[in-house]
Amino acid sequence: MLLFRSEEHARSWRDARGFVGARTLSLETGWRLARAWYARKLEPDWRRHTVEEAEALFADLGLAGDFWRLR
Amino acid sequence: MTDPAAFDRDVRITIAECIRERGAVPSLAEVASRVAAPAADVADSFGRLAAARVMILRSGTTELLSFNPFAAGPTDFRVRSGGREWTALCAWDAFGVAAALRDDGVVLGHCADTCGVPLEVRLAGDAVGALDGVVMQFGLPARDWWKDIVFT
Repeated sequence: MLLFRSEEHARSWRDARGFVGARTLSLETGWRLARAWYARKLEPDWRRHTVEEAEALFADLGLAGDFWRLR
Repeated sequence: MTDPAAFDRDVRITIAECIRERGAVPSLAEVASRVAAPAADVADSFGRLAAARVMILRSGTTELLSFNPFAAGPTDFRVRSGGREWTALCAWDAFGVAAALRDDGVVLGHCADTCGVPLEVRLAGDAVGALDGVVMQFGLPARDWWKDIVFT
């Protein structure tokens, strides 16, 4: 997961490397994703998301489609 | 050690405490000292926790590369959050540092394309501030992220 100056730069990077299926996210969605994913990581009762939970989390953020499937 | 699961939980919590207290991902030796256990037992625990995708070890070693989202050494992503400076393996983890600390943050990175222009992202509450047009890109689909998590 990398940062790019613009969609054009992201496209240039993925075209040069053959990552034709790459997906870009807005920074706002990335921040929401990071908060949903990592908010409890330092807590004693933290546990990994199950596959179902992770897919639901993606869906809640509008991250749908085959790219975001985990199975 | 009679219960590996309980020991692994203690090790995980100890790593998190080190991060909160010292602002740094600990070495195996520090964790062993804190949990008062032989280094070999902690190394085994690190291996189990890495296999369970709780964290990432340096290739071929029993030392932490990242207690995701917190990286153990210099990387291309720096984060100012919680009154300290941190590093992260990727943009998502860089945002994750502030998320895990439940604080605002400033992420310092660069465009991964050939321009390499420095990029700063300010995370404050629900708001994100950066140059117009800056985006994050995932190269691989989600199901492939852990096939090579360091590359991912």
